[in-house]
Amino acid sequence: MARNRRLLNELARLGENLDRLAVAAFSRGPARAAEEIVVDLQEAGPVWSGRFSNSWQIDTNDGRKTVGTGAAGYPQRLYAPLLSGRSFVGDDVKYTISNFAPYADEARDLAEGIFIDPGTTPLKEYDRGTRVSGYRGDLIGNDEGPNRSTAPLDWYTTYVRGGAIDRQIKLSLDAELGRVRL
Amino acid sequence: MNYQAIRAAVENPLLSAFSGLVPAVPVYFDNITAVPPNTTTEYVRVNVTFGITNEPTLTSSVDNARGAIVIRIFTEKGRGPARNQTLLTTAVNVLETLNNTAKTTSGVFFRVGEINGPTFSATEAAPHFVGRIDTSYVATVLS
Repeated sequence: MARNRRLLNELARLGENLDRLAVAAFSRGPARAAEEIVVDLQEAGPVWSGRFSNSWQIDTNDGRKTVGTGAAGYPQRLYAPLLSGRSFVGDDVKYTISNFAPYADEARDLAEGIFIDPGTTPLKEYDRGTRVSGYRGDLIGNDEGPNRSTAPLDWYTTYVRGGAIDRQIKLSLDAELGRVRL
Repeated sequence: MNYQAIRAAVENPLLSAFSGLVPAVPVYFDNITAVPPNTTTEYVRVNVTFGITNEPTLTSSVDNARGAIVIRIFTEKGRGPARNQTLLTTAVNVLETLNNTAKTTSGVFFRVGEINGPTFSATEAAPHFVGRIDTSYVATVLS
């Protein structure tokens, strides 16, 4: 009788552990994906002073967030908050990545802007050319001209719409699930 | 992979559509100099970018590419959005037609995703009112 009860207790504990492992694996996957997406965006996007690259922010659907420093300097890695068990349930959006730099739309080529070359050397390699329209990366010229750009035109749209985000999430989930030993 | 065929699959219909308007509206593609920024002449700018190539899919073909299409319509500033939206409609119609084109045994099978926008902007410095849409695409080169 006592042996049966012990067996039942162990089975119950095993069930809890399996549940916890599964939630941890699925929860860490999207968090890792969100972090890697920010890294990709930092690499793909413009880096002049570094303020824009350090202004990314990751929000969870239950109100937690990690926020970049917004400071100048080389891009810093941003760690995503883990999802709670409750917020993991459901198929709504788990993480939202945004940029809080006041000129984020201009930096992402989503809006026109007025660009003044500060005369300093950007932290990232740049192309030189002549800006055709009011869009940041809309430069023409064979590396000659008065304007400089540290990321190609439409870098953000290409990343978001070109399938890179889907791939990141799939890769991160694969990596996390590979660590689960049942 | 035939990037040029993929590019042509979207650029040619757009060029035809805007050239067929009266008056015709010039379209500038990647690496082609647009009109000088100090003119009020309306024009269209189309940028086709490539994201991921040969991503494995459920089908047998891996000769596919994903990417983004960004279309910007430049019209005269200070005249309201009507003309800009008319030209945007032309662009969206072309994208919708691409989605309705049946799959053949050769050429490029092209499908666009949801269309973002239009968003509009007009800065003090730039002489144009700009409408912008973007969409994702998946193109498979058939042989």
